[in-house]
Amino acid sequence: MKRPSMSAVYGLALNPDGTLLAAAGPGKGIIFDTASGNAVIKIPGATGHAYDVDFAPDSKSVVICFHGGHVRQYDVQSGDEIASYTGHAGVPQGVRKVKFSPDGQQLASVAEDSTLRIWDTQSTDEVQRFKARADVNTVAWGPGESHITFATDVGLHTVEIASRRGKTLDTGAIADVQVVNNQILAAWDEAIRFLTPDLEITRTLEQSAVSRMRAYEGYLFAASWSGADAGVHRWDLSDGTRQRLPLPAPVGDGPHAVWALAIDAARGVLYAGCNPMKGSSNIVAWDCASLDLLDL
Amino acid sequence: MTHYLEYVDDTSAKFWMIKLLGNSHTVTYGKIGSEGRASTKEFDSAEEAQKSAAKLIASKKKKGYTASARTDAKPAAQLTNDEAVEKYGLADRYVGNIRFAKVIVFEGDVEIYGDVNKNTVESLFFDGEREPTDELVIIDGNLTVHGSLDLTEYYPCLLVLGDLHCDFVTSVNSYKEVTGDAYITTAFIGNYNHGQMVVEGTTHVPLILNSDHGCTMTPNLKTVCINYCGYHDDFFKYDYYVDELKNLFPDEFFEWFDEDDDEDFDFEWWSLAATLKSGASPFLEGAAPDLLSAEEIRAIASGDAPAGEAPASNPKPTTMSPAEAKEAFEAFRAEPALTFLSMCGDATVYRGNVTSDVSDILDLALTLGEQGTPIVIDGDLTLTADSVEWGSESECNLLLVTGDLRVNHLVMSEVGDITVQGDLHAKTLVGMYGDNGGSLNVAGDAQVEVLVATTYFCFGFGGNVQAKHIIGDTTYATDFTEDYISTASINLFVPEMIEGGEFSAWKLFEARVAGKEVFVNNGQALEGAYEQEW
Repeated sequence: MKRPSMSAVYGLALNPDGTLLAAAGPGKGIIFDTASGNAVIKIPGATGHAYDVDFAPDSKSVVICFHGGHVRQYDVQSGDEIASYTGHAGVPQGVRKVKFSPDGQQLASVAEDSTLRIWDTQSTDEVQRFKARADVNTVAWGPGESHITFATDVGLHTVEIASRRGKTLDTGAIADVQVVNNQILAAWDEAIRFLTPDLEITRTLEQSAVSRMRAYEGYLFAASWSGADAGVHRWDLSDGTRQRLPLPAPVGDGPHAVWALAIDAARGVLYAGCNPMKGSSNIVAWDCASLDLLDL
Repeated sequence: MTHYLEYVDDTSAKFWMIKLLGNSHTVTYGKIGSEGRASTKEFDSAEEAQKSAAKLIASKKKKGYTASARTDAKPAAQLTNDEAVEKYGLADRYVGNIRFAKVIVFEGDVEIYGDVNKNTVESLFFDGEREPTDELVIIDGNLTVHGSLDLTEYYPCLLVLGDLHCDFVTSVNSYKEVTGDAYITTAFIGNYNHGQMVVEGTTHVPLILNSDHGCTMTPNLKTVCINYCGYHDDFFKYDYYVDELKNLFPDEFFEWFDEDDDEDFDFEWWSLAATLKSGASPFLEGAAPDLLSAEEIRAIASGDAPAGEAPASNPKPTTMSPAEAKEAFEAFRAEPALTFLSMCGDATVYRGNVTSDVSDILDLALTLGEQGTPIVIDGDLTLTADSVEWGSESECNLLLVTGDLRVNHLVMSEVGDITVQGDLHAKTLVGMYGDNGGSLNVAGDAQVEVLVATTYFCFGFGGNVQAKHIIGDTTYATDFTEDYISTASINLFVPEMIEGGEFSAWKLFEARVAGKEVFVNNGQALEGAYEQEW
């Protein structure tokens, strides 16, 4: 894969068959062909930082969210903007994450304007809005088909979308939440927690400053953006042990700040988006089983 | 004010009484022993009512009516001092300091028509036979005098074991003690440093004019208290030196001994009392308008309590140079305050308790002192407004209180220093943005319902802090070893306290002033997950 000209990567997403990797970073989005490593589409002119990206389940488009409050959908063939979801507040209350529903009918976006918004992808209308107390940092569809889970600087929420009723747990700041096999995974205050759909904590793994998590078979990959745990770790969920993944040295004196993860489960490849590293792209990949760095 | 007159000859025994109140008077007349007939007349002004009453009184006197006093009550017992001490617990009372030769006791309520004074006291209290000695009259009930209570020197001391109702009280070199409340429709005048007027309850009186007589009274909030002795008492709003009274009262109340010497005169308080009793105003037209409003003057003269909020009983300020102030308050041992005192210009110093209704301490500075000067309250400071702010506007923000500070809701932002030597009582205390070195230092205890410490504002407490809730961030609340609520724990606050995802101390202050709830679950963290409806 040719090195993308991005000073940092904040969001990564793979299309469902793993052939395309979309990266979001300062000022732009880039879509790569994972087989050749070529950048197939460059999405220019984005307003400020692009924080996150997600592929539509039909692989035909991506949605990118920006610091300027924009949520825009682009055709992956032409790179043309084909839709815009308008409503979030703008700078300095950027949109942090975007996530398509599994059927692609809806899009969830969360922002520093303290809202989770659910959009109809056909009409681009906002169909639901949940106002939280603080910046909403992350969102995941589930558990189950009726619920959505999101997290802020101060709490974790899971809510039945139709009835707008749900559970809240007061927490520290949460950067990422995942729903895996009817379990909710969220990290705050130096640890990753596994929770039931009723937000009862069932397991704790100690890792600080967790930015992203991805489950893979009996493992959990978790990235951290700062501190002693900066980098990427693989947790063996059978015994609770962890291994740090190898990374090239970062440019400058900073830590291995890792902001983004994407996993190609079929091929067993983990992608990470980082601050620039020496001798490497700021996108790196590993073999999920051997943890060897893959040559991109 | 009531004037009671009687006419007695061989064939008739009649009374005539006029009660003057504000712009009306009520005349009651009839045979002595009967209730009589009453009629009330209203006038356009208090002055007209007073003139009409004066005319009627003069007319009755011309017809042979004389000032008199009467009561149906008879003394129930005469006790020795020891007997009275035992029966009425005199040892615990002010009048217990005196050993009386004779104690006269009236049981039950006593109602007197006419003035109680040297001419009437013999018939009223001693059944017409009296050899003046050290006497105490105990009224074991309420005492009502339709007239003045003018018990001055060489007349009996008085203990009322109940309430006192009368028009006027003069107290000179005599002891009077009331265990209940006192209702005095016109004025209390105290003079001379022997004797004492003690009212355990509240004294409802429009005007207190006192020199150096002992006054142990709690005036009601509407009382105008004028002190004209050289030192300040606790409750006097208007403090004058005796020569300053010339700005308040006309020449007729002053006897001049030397026309060329402004200081050589006597203040004839008894003349002033007579004017007040007549219903006329003793004050000069427009006297001291910055101290006494026209409304207050009218109300005092008419025996009507001034309307409106309580006049604060503030002492007059004096000015001290930095060096003088530093020396005077050295014992205060508040280093930051003393440093500021010596750095700033002249301090405005109040010797005594200060009450103010300002809603901005800057206004306190402007009202009490000059902007930018340090203010020293050498006593307690009570701020009565619901909400008091202190923001940085003046060049030298310094408030030094040697007593206690009482305030409802106080927010301090970008200010200098408040130093309190005594205790602090507040409903809400918010300190933020003290980047000029803002601080509140309290040497004593602090009783605060909600205390907010954020962003560079320093709190220092020498005593105990009793606070229902302390809110702070990790940096600025470290002085509080007890649990405090972190400003990051925004889930503990109702959503209105959150602005842009962050706790707003200012929003909290506004809500507290408005009496609104600021916490979810009383500020306690909820255990585990809880239901939420969106």
